[in-house]
Amino acid sequence: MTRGDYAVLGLCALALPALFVRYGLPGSSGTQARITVGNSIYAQVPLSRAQVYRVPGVLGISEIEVRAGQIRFTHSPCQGQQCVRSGWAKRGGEFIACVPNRVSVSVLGQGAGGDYYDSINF
Amino acid sequence: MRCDALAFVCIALFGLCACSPGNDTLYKESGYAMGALVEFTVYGVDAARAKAAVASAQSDLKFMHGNFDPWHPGSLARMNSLFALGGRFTAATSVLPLIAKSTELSRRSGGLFNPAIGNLIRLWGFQTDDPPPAGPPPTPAHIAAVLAQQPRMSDLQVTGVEIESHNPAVILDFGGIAQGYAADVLIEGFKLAGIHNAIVNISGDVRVLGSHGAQPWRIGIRNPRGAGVLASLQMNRDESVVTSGDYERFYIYDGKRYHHILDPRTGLPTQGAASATVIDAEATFADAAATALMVAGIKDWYAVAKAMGVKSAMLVDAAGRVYMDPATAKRIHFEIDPPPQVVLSESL
Repeated sequence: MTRGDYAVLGLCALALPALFVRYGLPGSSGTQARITVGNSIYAQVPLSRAQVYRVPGVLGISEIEVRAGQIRFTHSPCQGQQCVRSGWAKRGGEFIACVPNRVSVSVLGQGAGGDYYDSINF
Repeated sequence: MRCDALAFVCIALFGLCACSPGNDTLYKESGYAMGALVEFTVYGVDAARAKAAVASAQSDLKFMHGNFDPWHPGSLARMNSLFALGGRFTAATSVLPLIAKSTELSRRSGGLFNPAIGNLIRLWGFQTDDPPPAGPPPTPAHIAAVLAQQPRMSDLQVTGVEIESHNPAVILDFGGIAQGYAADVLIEGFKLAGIHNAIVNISGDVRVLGSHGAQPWRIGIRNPRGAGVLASLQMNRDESVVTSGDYERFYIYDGKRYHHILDPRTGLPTQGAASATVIDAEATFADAAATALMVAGIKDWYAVAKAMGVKSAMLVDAAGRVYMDPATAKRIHFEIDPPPQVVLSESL
């Protein structure tokens, strides 16, 4: 190995994290989530900061919790409570919807590596 | 060595950049249309073209909803009223293909998929979410009275564009097939618009076209008895996956849970299966078959799937056990740890 080889390998080691940040890996956890009310984006929130969001829907307030890179509904004014029972979402492409209250959250895949799930069947 | 290493690293980094599955051409749009959560995904064309195709699909969906909704003024509600009066009349032509499909699939399912039981659905209150049904459930006497009327798809006689019902109790409710049918229609519209890679998801009924670049579309299947995603599936190029489940709409009355998928034989909510998933090229077929397998339950699902010509199916019972055929088992990747207990059937 020459000095030049070491330099090239060093450059490579520096470039890979940058490429990872830019393109991500399919299947990695998302870093952000989008909260939608009706057909409009209500907020795009980081999954790195623990927080409870109170989101007004058509029936009332949905409470959405972010903790440890995950997101979930903790309270909903809907009757079925399917959204609350859905638990945590953390992988890119996962989403939880409260159809009666018209509030939904979707986890955004990291970088252009894309979402782990392209869509959810239920 | 130096030149070789440099060239290798340059080519590798360039290749990584060029081949990364970039989503520069991935267009997603979701929202609520006619009470359903609808999601469109288009890949491989510029955003303006994708947006125009999705706008056209939204318009088609609105048209279909107006025609297929039995509980609000429109084509199907009018036809249901006329069935009760008897006699022949001119059908709404946009509904006729759905009637033909439903009649055929109802026959193949041995009547387990039966869209003629609108009366029963109304008796339970599941015809509307506004206000949501809250109980009490109908009495056994009321259920028996509705079952005694025996409405079936075969009661309908179609001649050209004219239709008549030989049973005034027929009330069509296409809740077990219309979303799959709509997904098929919208994907055909995408094809005509020159879109070759797309997903249409209508209230969880998924139809895909093409792929996500070099990767197949990957669909997560929701866990009917737990949180999150139960399993994932890499889709073939023109394929659908539809799940019918007891968790989507229900009410609890006096501590007992009543869900919206009704068994046409007993008049009661189906028992045994928490969900039934069918994978097929056609979402229309998958939708109707998933409904029929929910009604068939864990004991009879295999026989009904065979009779209908289902090639790929997966059921989950109340305890979370998974039942499926070997071909489906090869494609399913469980996303929960530990994976569920699996009971394999013979090949379909």
